[in-house]
Amino acid sequence: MLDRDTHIEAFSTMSSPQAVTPVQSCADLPDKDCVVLRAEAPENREPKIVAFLCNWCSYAGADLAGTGRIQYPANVRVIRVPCSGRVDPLMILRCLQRGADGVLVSGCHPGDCHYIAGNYLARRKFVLLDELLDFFGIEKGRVHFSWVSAAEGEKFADVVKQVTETVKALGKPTKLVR
Amino acid sequence: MDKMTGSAMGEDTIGAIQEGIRNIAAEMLEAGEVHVFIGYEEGTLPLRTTPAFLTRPEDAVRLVWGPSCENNLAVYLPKFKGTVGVIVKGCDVRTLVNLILENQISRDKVKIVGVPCRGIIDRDRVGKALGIDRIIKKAKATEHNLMLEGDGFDVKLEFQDVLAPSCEVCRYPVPVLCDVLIGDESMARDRKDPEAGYLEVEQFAKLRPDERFSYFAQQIEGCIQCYACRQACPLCYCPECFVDRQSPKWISRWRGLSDKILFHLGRVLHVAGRCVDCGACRRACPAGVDLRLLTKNMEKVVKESFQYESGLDIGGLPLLATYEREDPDDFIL
Repeated sequence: MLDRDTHIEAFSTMSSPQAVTPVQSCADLPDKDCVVLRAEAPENREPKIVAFLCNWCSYAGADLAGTGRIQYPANVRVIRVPCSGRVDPLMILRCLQRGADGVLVSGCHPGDCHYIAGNYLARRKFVLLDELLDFFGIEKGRVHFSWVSAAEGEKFADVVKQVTETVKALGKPTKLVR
Repeated sequence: MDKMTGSAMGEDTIGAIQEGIRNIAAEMLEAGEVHVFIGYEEGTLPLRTTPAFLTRPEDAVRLVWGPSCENNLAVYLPKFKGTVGVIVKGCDVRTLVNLILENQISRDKVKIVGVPCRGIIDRDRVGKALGIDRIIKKAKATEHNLMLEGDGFDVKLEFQDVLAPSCEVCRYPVPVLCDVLIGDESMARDRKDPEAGYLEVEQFAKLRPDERFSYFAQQIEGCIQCYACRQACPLCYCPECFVDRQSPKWISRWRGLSDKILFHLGRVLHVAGRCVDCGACRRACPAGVDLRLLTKNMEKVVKESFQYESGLDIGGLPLLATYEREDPDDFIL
């Protein structure tokens, strides 16, 4: 009935203050389903966002946001990649397939790539992926791309805030999820 | 071109091309210019042709030409080591150009015999025009018509009505690159505007995202993951396709919609900027999955975003192996 993720989500919501007001009547449901209902309620649901960050820029930018104590939503799960050019569009699709609410790919600004042109090549792939997903009927706003340098802790926090808001507004993903 | 349109003349055009193909094949094999000549021969059923691999000049008489010569023969080229002669239509040669561009075959190892193409027939459309349960026993094609005979029927169909959808909007009916062109350019179809091909895509894009998704989901639902589309595609030459990989295992043994979608989106992305809309994948599909809209849309995106059209030039670099500083980046935060 309950898979592992829902369990974890259910338990984490139990201890959070948001879970106090149930959004749906669950009087005739067993306790554990009731918790899940609350966790799954649109306003309580915290999206999970997978962020592929380039080792040389965005990862350091995220680190700077951390050391600078800049607050940003804790919804991102960071995966460090050597370059935004390393990110295969299939990886992004796979994230969406395995239940991520959104994906963020962030690399160096044009011209700043550690490998000279990795981000330029990535950009072409992202244009194609972006247009393909849109045409296929996947909501715009599930997949985001950004350029964040190692010095832009503030920008990283802003990007994460913006992405989290957009993804949250879209609600639970259904189309690609296994 | 108008001079050629009489039906008797039309028949002759097809016959003349066939004769030309036979002659050139025999000539090339005789002279030892090619080790193998790939063309079409009569299939086991009417309206069917099958690829023929000839090594002896006397076999050239087996070769045929007509609107049922649908296979894209470029798919076989990377498999041969020696010099190969091959018959190509306008779309086939563009995949061949891509193979040369991507270093899968070398230009001097292939003798390209181009045919000015009048379009090929779509057997699904023939089936629809005929109605179900009609077994075709004999078929004959002329310039404008398709004559079908069977038990209790003798039908004459308009060639225009049974033309394959890709051919309807074909922009390059005359091969863009060839060593020998059979006949002349006036024998080919008229070139269509690029915009004509995108009308369908633009119409579809006006639907709501949910409607678009449900259309594609419906198509993909029928996929039985036999990967015939991949096998038929000349541009799917990877020794190990991502769907066959064990680590990472992109596609599981579980046959659900989500995994099928991943396969098809992955395939569309892998042929993005390379696909020339030859229609081989669609024809190969035993389940009738039609994702032409997806690939056609990709073609449109590539053209609009990067001013790139696939398979026209053997110089330069493939789309995704290069970049411009001015590439679109308004979608990047």
